[in-house]
Amino acid sequence: MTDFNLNRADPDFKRQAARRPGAEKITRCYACGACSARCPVGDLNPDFDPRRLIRLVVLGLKEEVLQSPLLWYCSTCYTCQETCPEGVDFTEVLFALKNMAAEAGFFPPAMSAQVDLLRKHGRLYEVTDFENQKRRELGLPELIEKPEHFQSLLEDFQLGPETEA
Amino acid sequence: MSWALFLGCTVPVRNLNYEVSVRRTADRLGLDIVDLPDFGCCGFPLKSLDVQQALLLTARNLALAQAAGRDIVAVCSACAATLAEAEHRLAGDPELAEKINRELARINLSYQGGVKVRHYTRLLYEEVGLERIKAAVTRPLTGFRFAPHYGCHYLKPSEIMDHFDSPEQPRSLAGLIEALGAEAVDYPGLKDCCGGGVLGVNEALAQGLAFGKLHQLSRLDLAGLVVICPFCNVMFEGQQKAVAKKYEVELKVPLFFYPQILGLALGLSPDELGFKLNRIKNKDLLKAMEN
Amino acid sequence: MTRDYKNIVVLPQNFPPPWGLTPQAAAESLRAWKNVDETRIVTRWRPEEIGSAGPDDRFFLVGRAEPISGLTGSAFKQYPVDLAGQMPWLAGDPSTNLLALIKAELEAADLEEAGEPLALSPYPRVLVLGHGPAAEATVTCLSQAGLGAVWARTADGAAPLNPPLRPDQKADSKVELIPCREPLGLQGVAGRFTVRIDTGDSIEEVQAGAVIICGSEKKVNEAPEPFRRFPVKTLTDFEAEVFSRETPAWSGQGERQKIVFLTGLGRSTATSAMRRILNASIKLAAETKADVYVLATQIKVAEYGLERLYGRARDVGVAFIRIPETGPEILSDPNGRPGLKVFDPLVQGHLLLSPDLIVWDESSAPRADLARRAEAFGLFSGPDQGLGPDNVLFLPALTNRRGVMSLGPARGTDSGEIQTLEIESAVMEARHFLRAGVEPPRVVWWTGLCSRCLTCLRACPHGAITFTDRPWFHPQACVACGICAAVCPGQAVDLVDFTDAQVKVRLDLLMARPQEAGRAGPRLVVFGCRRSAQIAMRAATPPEKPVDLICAPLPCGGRLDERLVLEVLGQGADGVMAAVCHPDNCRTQKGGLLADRKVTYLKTTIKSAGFDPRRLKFFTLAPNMGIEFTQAVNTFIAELARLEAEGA
Repeated sequence: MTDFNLNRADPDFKRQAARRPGAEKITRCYACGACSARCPVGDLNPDFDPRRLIRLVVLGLKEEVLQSPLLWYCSTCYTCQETCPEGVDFTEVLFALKNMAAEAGFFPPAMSAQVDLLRKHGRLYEVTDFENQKRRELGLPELIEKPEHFQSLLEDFQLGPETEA
Repeated sequence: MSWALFLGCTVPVRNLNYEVSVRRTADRLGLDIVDLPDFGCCGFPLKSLDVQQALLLTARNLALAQAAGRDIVAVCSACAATLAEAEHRLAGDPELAEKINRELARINLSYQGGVKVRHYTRLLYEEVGLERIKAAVTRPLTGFRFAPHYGCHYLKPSEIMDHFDSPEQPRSLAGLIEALGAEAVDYPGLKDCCGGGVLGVNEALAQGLAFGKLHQLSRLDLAGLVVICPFCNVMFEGQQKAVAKKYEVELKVPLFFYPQILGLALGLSPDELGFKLNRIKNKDLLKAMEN
Repeated sequence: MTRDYKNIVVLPQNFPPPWGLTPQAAAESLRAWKNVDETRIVTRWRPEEIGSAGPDDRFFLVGRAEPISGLTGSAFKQYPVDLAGQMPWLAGDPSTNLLALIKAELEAADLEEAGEPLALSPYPRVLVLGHGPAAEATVTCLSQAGLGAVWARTADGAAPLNPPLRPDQKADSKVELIPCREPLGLQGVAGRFTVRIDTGDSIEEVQAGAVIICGSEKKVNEAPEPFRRFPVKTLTDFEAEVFSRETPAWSGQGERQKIVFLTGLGRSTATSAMRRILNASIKLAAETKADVYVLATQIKVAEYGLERLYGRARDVGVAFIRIPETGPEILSDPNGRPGLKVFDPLVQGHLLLSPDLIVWDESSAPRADLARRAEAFGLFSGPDQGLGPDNVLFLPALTNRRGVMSLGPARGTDSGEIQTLEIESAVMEARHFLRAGVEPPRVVWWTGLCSRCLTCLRACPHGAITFTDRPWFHPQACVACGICAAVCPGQAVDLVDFTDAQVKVRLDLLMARPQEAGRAGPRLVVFGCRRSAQIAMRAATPPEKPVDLICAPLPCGGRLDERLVLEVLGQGADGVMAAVCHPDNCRTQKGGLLADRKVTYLKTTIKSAGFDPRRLKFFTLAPNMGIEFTQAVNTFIAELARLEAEGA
């Protein structure tokens, strides 16, 4: 049984989260459990419990939440969001928490790989002559990449220092 | 209605059968759809890292469509949802819209709001309509049973999708299948998620999510599963062998993109619709199409 | 038999019935037994022969045994509607017991008619006990209703929560005022209560037809001992600081303070206290830098506006933590600073917290005085220690004791709107017991068998039995639960429509039936409470395996009779199940518990008689639990099969 020391918690954590777009309604949660009941990931992995995550945020247990790999297991099916009687928008809350985790340097390595691809190609999959040849054979128009746009837009974007996620 | 075709990252590289069938059926149905070559990633993959940054990438595409004077029709559910959500948010927050435009100015773009975003399937359901499709069918797929898979980002979040179909009791895709003269099968896992969203982070979890549905479907008498999103295709077709191996079951569920079977019913040939690229064949269906 | 009948009509269903004794023969036999020429026994319905039915006619439908369903509507369709209520369904089989059954029914009917005319309530006034706005409002309501009232004003010294309602009502001649230092005891039965009151100068005996206990607020100012280790304030004092214009020390200059509201430890939090806590915590969280926690046993929002307040509190960042009724654990951290520890089931872990200030809700302090009063008055008490059972069947103002109502502070409510409803209900109920009238008896008592042991009086949860030279069963206060009949050691008491004879005869008939195909499998007798099991059984899905299910309805679980259980076991039942209401749902509060106790006792008894105690089962359920009923039956069937295999 874990002990959670609220004296070392950050009661502002919920307010910080609520300031993020999409997560404004996090404090509406009254722990009814409808989200956890319907979550398909929760069915396979009982540790992934939306209600519990919100509770940890409301109690200010920032480290516990942001360092948890569970944050990244959401399949974004939106079922919790559709079901919540208080309109908490839990999927958006999770995006906000994932953002905060990434800023603190906690994120799966697959994520940073995606950012690199976007900067290089403006796409997740590189488009080379090979791909365009296959397209031509099917009568499909050529694809182009426009990396300069993405480099420009992503210029100021920086991932936090990468640590164990 | 004039549309710009938004292909996203995956479809034009990994699911050419989907792209080709979309184009051919759109053509056959007389839809005004053009390509905007400058379209790039919709921004969805970046959302987990930085919501605002992702929004910026999405807004770029909206701005491009606006500059071309067109609305957007997307073929990937995640792209459709991301673009629709961005349009929704920018419309409701002028301050945010201004901020985004300041960034877009770097690449000489600007977005003033008002671009409609539709998933191709929703477009068929609403703009074309079941009656017109029925009328255009020359080769009804009578006797074939298809299981629809709606996926998660086609109908949800329901506010952003204008509640056009119910996430709890969806009917649009079933209706579209029935319009082809085929039978749409209902099954308990109809609303289950494919798991595609976590494939990159936790493969075992994603496969677990896909397994439930595939297992159910493999025990039904079906011509195949009909999907409308490349993620779902990756999980149910691409991962089918791996899932079968992991759970030690036999799975042989053919997969189709809806425009592929739509095309068949409209009289197009399987080759024209990229059926060669479907990995799990349904010989009966192909045979029936030889007539 | 004291009654004569014009027609006794025996109507067989399911022609031709497989009777060993034909209905005609039974009719002959009855005629001989009755020995009165005027009674006609008719075995076929012929309107022109019978004429219209009247009070001198008695009808019996005779048909096959239907173990689960009661009287089926279709059987009545052929007969005039007004007869339907008069026709008991006699389950029959080839046997001679048809006669005995009819005789038992006729005897029971006679008992029903032998009622005493009763002039109720020689004391046409209501006694109101209490002090403060609730008591004042009650007395006002009574006098507006034209009922006499005696107001015994306890003077506990508490300040009223609301201003008094009618300053002129004390001059009302219909209201008699007496001082009351302490009510000592309540005797009697509804309509005839005698309350002994210590006025301070003397002991008075007040007689009233009904009693309404309003109670009064008791001010408690000290937090319970363990919490005095912390800086602690009462909610009232803290409210004054929060809502005053001056800035108190903890308001956020300097370090952030952890402020913890604590409520619900002694008794469940009243809604008005919840409102005060929510308002104070919202102001704190929204306007200062304090970190606010509410530790409560329950978040009570069952009142206007509370749900919204609760939402607002969450929005401004108040954290709500649920504590058990025993309260949070108190421990010291390594620096010797006192802290609180609570298990949070949502995070599946313990929460540790060292508050800078505890705000203690004094209104949820335990009320030992109320507990004492409850005992003195023979009333069941709820978890808020109010004088009313924690059972929704007793809302808004009823207690288990008929004719005694409780409301307001005595009940644990202290909010305006709900109190008004309580007062109106209590007054309406009181009026019921004040009127005169004739009531048919619901209980029959045989003086020759009664040893005046008073067991029935002690067992009755409704206070419906008093004693003069004999136990006297008040027909209005009695709710016909049958607990007295079940506990009487001399079998001197029975319910009028549920005598032992009637039940036994029915059971004998059903048990004597040979088992047929479709009814193979173990023979299970279910003694089911009318309010839960009987209803659930009608909704029950068929059991998985074949079973011969026989049901004997009970008016209340408490009516379960050990003798009948032994009887059916002796007649070859494979298993017996007592199915009664959940303890919190029991209409008599005690019935289910009594049944449970009896089954436990019976298991020992039957063991010594050579039966396996596993053949007896006790099961509680709600009326909507048809599925669970079937599951219990399925499990029982499986267990019985195992017993058979063991050779038990």
